[in-house]
Amino acid sequence: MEAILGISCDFHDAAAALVIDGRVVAAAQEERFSRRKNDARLPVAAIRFCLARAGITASELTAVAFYEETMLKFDRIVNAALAGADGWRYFEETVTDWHRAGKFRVRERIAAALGIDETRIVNIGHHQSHAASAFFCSPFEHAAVLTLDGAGEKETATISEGVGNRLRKLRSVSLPHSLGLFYSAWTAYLGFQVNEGEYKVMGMAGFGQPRHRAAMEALFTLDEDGGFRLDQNLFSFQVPGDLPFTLAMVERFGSARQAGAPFAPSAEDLPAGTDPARQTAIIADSRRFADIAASVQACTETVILHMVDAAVRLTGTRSVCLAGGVALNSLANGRLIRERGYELYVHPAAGDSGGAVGAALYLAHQDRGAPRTGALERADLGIEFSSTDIDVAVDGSGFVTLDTAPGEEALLDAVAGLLASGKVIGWMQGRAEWGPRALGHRSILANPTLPHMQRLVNEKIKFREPFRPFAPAVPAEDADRFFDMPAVRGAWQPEHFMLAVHPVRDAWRARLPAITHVDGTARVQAVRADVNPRLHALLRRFERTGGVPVLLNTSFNLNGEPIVNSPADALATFTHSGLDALVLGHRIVTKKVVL
Amino acid sequence: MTVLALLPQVAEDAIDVRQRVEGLSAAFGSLDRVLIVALPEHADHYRAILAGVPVVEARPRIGDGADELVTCGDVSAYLPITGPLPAVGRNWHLTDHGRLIPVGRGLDTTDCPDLFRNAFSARSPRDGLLGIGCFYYFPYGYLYRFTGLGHLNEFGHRIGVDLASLGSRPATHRVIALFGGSAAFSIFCLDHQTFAHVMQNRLNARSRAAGSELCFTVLNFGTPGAVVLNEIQTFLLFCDRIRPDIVISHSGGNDLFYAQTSDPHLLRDYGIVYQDNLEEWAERLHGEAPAPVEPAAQIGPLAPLQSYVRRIRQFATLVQGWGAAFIWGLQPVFISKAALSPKEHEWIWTRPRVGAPERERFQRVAALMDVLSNNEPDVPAAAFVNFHRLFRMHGANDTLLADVIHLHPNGDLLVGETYAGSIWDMFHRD
Repeated sequence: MEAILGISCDFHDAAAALVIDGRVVAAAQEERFSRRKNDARLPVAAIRFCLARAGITASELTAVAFYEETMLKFDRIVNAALAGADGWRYFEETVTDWHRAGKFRVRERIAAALGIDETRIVNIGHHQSHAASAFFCSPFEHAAVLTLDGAGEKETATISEGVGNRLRKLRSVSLPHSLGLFYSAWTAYLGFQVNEGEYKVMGMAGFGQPRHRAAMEALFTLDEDGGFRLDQNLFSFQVPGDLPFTLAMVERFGSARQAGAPFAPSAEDLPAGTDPARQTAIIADSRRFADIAASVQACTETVILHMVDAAVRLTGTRSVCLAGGVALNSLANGRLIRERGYELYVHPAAGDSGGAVGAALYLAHQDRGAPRTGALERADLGIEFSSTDIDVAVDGSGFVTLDTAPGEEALLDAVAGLLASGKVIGWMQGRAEWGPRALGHRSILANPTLPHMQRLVNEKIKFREPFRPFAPAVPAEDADRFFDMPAVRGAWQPEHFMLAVHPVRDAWRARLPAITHVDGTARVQAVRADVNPRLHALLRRFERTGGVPVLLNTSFNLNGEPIVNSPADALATFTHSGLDALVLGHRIVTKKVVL
Repeated sequence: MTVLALLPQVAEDAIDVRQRVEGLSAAFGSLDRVLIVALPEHADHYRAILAGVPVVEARPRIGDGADELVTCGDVSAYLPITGPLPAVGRNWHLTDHGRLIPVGRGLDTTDCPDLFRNAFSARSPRDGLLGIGCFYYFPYGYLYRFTGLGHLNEFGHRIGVDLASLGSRPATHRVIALFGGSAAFSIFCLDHQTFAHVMQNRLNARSRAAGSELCFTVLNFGTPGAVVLNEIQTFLLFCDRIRPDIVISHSGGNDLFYAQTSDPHLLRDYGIVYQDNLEEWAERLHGEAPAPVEPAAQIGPLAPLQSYVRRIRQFATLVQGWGAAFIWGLQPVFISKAALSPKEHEWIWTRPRVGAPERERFQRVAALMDVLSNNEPDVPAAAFVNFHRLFRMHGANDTLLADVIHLHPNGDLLVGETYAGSIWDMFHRD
């Protein structure tokens, strides 16, 4: 047995993953255990879970792979600091931060946490880790592999060719030219938190027109070989200041949006109680920001398509693998599938947490020659709780459970009935998902045919911005009936991981109002009976009572909190939200209490 | 003229500036000896808002002869017009909820006549922000002094009557003892705006109109930060001789808020909830590093609610045993309303008076109140007044809230009238 533990940490989204004989057996983000959103600390709890899941101890590990070349990253920071106008301050702050957080001693810290010798820890490059997470989890023997994110050590994007169990880098783009940082800068400009609010920009884009597309695309010089250069005048990437954009951006595109400012591109979107004197200004501002978001999105798609097209030309294959935070841009992924017809694989945890899987796989396949083991077709790689664990948590909670007849059928009937009657359900089943998407293991489910449901779930359940869209879950075999997309085949395709946006077919838009975004699209989750049989059966059961085999599916968390992990987390979120019922395994918990 | 009052140097909303002027009027008895001044460019704006209140434009040496000076923040725009402001005997800062805070001096007996009446009040902080609003040590419970809105007694309560005299009152004199935290204290209201005052006025007016001999006194034992456990302590300390006819616990916010940070073991096993700062007090008093604490006990998400109901039940039983009627009032929070008014939105979201972490904790409080409202417990109370539910009937046209948990005077008016109605019905029924 060759057991390799992959670790990513120290910047954002720390995670651990365990690969045994080339197969991913467990993976989890630290935030799910620590309950600290985007927790970047050494993922001690996630490591503990991975080892326990496999029933091994740290001493049985063949090696540990860390997802980054620490000193290479520091070298980049030193060079940037020496060249930058405000470089000394940046250097001083970075050294202080790295020293305090122990980032220089990451191998030592990992070794101490695991009780192993430091020599068993191997550093794998950031983008190599991303590339490995995509290619080695894909079904392809030969593929063009793209990585795109903010920045690794120095690189911000790479094109590689994957063949068998080998990856060969062909091209790369380095700082300051970064598509990920370009998107993040606009995320900050639009009043959202960097590394967290990028989805909100995508959501906001649907409300606007890409009026500034040409101006934004003019900032990029696209090279024939797939690379690009980004005009730095509007950005501050090398020596980051308080904001990742410069005054030139404000001069050119107007004032930035204040965090938390109301977003109402039309009068009916205005929050109740909006001061009448301010309504016109709020609508005008919202439209301006929506147009900017739409332009940022359109420009990003142009650059992604340019890179992917070039990668396909360079490698001579139409099989494409994507990873890195930009690969979570599901609008772009949808276009790659529909417009280009590429066979696309996107790692379900494409951001930095996925580096944990990638580093371990890179070490296993590329360095140690392990044979490929088939595609990663499911994302439920996290922790699981027994029915006893669930019973203890539920019985100790004080909530009254709904008695149903024993067996699967009765459970599904009861849940489908609740959903059809407009109840919003917390749904926790089996192992937690790997990656940012809830795929029916830690989900909130609701009836998508009810017009008020989108606003209800946003405002009363998740306490988040009312404009944000929700995804539909649909049986894989029915997906192209409701959505304008090619029929899905392999369980590895992006739609299984909710990683591609497609138009809702015209006939269904009005009938599925809660999952149809303002621009007529939806981020589809195709559910297979062999991968998630209970959710698939629930969709079929809901079809009988609700009329369509489609459910609104969103992550089981409140705004700003990590997705729930344990029954205790689920019960706490259930208590503190407007959820009507909670399904934990076979138990249906209601909001009834005996006080 | 003895008081020079400079209005804000920006054109402030009617709702804010009216409350400032209410505060001036309440603090100085009337506006007779107050000269209210505005910058020339805002004078007409303020005159229109403050109909009937004389507002004069700033001019050179306007402060000559003033004994006291009241400002509302930055006055730099006044100085080029008025010249240096007069050196007066007393300076005050006037907040947008009408609270008058001394500037450049500590609290004294002109602010709180009973300041030195007992040993613990006399030893309480008096300087700066701590003096005007502070927890202070008292071995028999939790006291908090919040000055600047009206009269306070030696225990920080908004009570102006001699408690001892109420022990031998006639049968027609009914006493209502109100308990709760800052919402019962009414920290955004002047004395005459508090719901305790409104309730008393409404009950006496109804009694007079009905030709009844009944008269009512409402004693406001509301203490900012107090949880029901503190209410019980206060009740035991001060009500044994008074023997109130009715006891109100206007609560929920503090118990459900502070339970989220209380020791899980104390909460689960003993129903003990306490204010955030009390663990820090333990450290400060003993001057030692904190002892190793057992790992946090696992508690269910309903533990705060269960603890709150347990204490309410205990309080109700105690009150009932003393022969009084118990009214349980579940206070509203910002999510209770169907929609926020523009001004409420500003105070809660745009220019928040309470920080985001606390606001999130109050969102959880509201969720627990929903659970409570849908699962009304059996409590030996004469009435359960659920303001969390009642406020659901109010939307964007009504400004009732001053922040996430406290009420604007309009909200206190509604609460006072509602309690008065319930109490009148109780007596009418009997």
